[in-house]
Amino acid sequence: MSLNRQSAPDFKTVDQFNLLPIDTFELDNGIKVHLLQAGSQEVAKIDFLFPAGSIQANKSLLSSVCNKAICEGSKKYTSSEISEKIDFYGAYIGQQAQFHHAIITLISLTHFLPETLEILEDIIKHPTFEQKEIDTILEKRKQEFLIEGDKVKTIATRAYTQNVFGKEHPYGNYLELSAFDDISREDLVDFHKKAYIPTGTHIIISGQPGDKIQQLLNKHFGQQWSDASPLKDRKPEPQSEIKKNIFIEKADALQSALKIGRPLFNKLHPDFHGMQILNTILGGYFSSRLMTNIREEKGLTYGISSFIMTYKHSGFLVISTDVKAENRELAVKEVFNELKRLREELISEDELTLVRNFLSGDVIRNFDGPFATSDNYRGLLDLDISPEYFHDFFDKLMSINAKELQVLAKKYLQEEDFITVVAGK
Amino acid sequence: MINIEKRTLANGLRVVVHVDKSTPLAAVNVLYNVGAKHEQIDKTGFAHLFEHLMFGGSKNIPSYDEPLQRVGGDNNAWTNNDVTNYYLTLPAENLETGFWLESDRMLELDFSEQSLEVQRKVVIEEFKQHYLNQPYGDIPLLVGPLAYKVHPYQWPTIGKDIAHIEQAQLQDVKDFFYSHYAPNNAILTVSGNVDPDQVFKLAEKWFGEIPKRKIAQTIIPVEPEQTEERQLRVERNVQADTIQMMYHIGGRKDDDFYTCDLLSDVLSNGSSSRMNQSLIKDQQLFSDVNAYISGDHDPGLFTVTGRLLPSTNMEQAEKAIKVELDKIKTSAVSDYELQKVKNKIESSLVFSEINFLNKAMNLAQFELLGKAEEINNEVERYREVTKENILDRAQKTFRSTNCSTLYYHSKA
Repeated sequence: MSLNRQSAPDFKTVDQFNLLPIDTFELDNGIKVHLLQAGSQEVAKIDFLFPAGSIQANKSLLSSVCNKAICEGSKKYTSSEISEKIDFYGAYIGQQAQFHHAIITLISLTHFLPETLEILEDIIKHPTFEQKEIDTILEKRKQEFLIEGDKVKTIATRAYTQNVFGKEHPYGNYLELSAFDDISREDLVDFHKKAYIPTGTHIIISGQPGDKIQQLLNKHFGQQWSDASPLKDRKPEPQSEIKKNIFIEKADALQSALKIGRPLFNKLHPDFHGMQILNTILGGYFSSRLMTNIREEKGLTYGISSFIMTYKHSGFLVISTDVKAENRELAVKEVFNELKRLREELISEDELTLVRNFLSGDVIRNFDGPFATSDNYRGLLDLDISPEYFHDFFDKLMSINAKELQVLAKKYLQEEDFITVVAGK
Repeated sequence: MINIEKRTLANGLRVVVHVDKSTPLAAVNVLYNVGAKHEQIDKTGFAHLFEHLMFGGSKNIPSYDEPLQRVGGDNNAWTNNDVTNYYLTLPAENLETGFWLESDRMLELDFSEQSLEVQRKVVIEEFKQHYLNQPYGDIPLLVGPLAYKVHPYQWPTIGKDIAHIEQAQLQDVKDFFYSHYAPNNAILTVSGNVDPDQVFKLAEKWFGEIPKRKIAQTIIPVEPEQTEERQLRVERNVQADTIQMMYHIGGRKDDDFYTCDLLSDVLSNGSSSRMNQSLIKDQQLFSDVNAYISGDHDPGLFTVTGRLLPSTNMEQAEKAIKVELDKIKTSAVSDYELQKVKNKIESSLVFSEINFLNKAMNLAQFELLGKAEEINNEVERYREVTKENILDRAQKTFRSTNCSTLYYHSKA
């Protein structure tokens, strides 16, 4: 029997999506715990989300430096004792400061959780903030900031967010070099006291933390160690002057970084799911319009993509690529051509099916197992959105049609609403 | 313990299956035993350019990506000094689509001028984006020729010279395909929610008829022992000085691979490691330090890197690193310290077993190096390493005549 290699084998479309169950409970002091218990390995990942982000901090660098310095020495353990112990247990501590939360993540073998959580308790409640440790962190951060500032991609990204959100709000990502000399130990001590508190804190657990996890967490984090209320949230001010075109020259650049985008909305907006799908068609996967045109047909770049970034109070869509100077104008022109095509031509059934099938597979990948699921779920907590949200997206994906996508394109992909930032030549 | 079933088809294709029922997905990984080290010195960057061309359509299927996306799949590939690795994931029930796509491009590529023309440009842009237009991006281009004088590890995967890519001809591409891409030079691993019998059936159906090919026997020159200390000093428009020191060690299959790995862990894995504590925290000379082994199949490198703080000069930096290396070759690590790095390895192996795609890639590597089952002996291999092994390895490795150093100075 000879094989017919020309036609594709039969396949099934993904028509339903099962989200792992997420249990929630409260510790004795009211801290909300979200538990995704699943997986075949005796490993757990525990995220602590404190209301200690850069918005609460209201001072450049304060949130990120505090969240880093917190692990460099506590009442019971010196900085090197903390790292010795954590390394000996084969565990990892990760830190991430975001706009609305500061996150401390512990990844640990389940049977060492009693030991690793005990250390974490002391870190979180009783950091010593030694000046020497703070200096080490600041020196490293300053150097990284300068190195990043030489990359055209970073220059363009910084200019883009500053333009959209202004220099005053953390969403703008504006940072002056002098800020590195303006962080004192007192700032950290004060911020830690006000922001690493039970109220407004979430804990997300994924993996197999064992049946005693609730007791363990109550033992270390269940007491009312502070009565403080979270520091104030702050929305970005609407910017009166958003520039349509920004060009930042870097004479020695071999390629220019392009950011072409527009302000958008947060995850609660009724058009959000539809825009995610439209964005995928535009530049969100390998067969996207932009990749096909600008990389695969014209060879102008190694890669081009578009993505939607959302924060609690806002969001934006941005198309991003690096091209050589002589190709820049053509690339920009083609980006706007692709926006125009989405506004003016209905997407074919064939392309819509392709993107629907791809995205439904992608949903399965993004929610495969407890760790992947918890990473996605974490993004919902700022806005207190229920996991049902992911099903809503899936339903929208199954039902959206070409007409609806065109309506969205006409509403949100108008050339005059877009900002073009170029860094390089 | 990772479950494994294996078959070899009549055409030489090795098929390895690992069942993981905790996911609704499956991974198909095809590893070709061809990497940058199989290239000719005047045609470098070919293995990687070729990886790009493998997505330009095959004999019977005009587009690779689209039919895969249509069944909910996604894919990518990477090339290194030793191998080229292609992988895809998809809903397990659509597994056959993966076999259809991968077998057709193993059977024969659609060699088109147009695809070559476009991918040449794309790779040139990739070269610029990653190696020329980034601070420190040219380090891989500098260190290879310093540490290797004859072995092809002297050039990076992207190529020695952008001109080699610019000049690539369709005939070169065809020759490369038929002399390296073949069932008898590949390993197929499948992992995830699959049934081994069905996998073997599909493998036979789709790959069974691909003919065995004559594989080009590249003669890879053996790097002679280094006998003099080597140094290279450059000045670039960057914000901070960096130093990179490289010492020759053995290859992936050598007995002391695991010793070398633990030696690098003692020096720099985790924030309690020696170099982190001493060079960053105590002496405050560096903002970043690292020690790692290349893991190359042929004899590779033990690399130590450091990024200097503004107040540190290059002489201090080099001296401070050498003091750490001297310590580890003068007295044995403590039992506690050895246990610590072994614990860390064991837990990272547990973490790496969570992901089914990771397992498919790792199994392919192990099968190529000997046999896939060896993956389950890794923990034991690490456990067997003694502090005497580490001391001995450090003494043999950290000698000045075995060292190549790149001093990367900031112009400012």
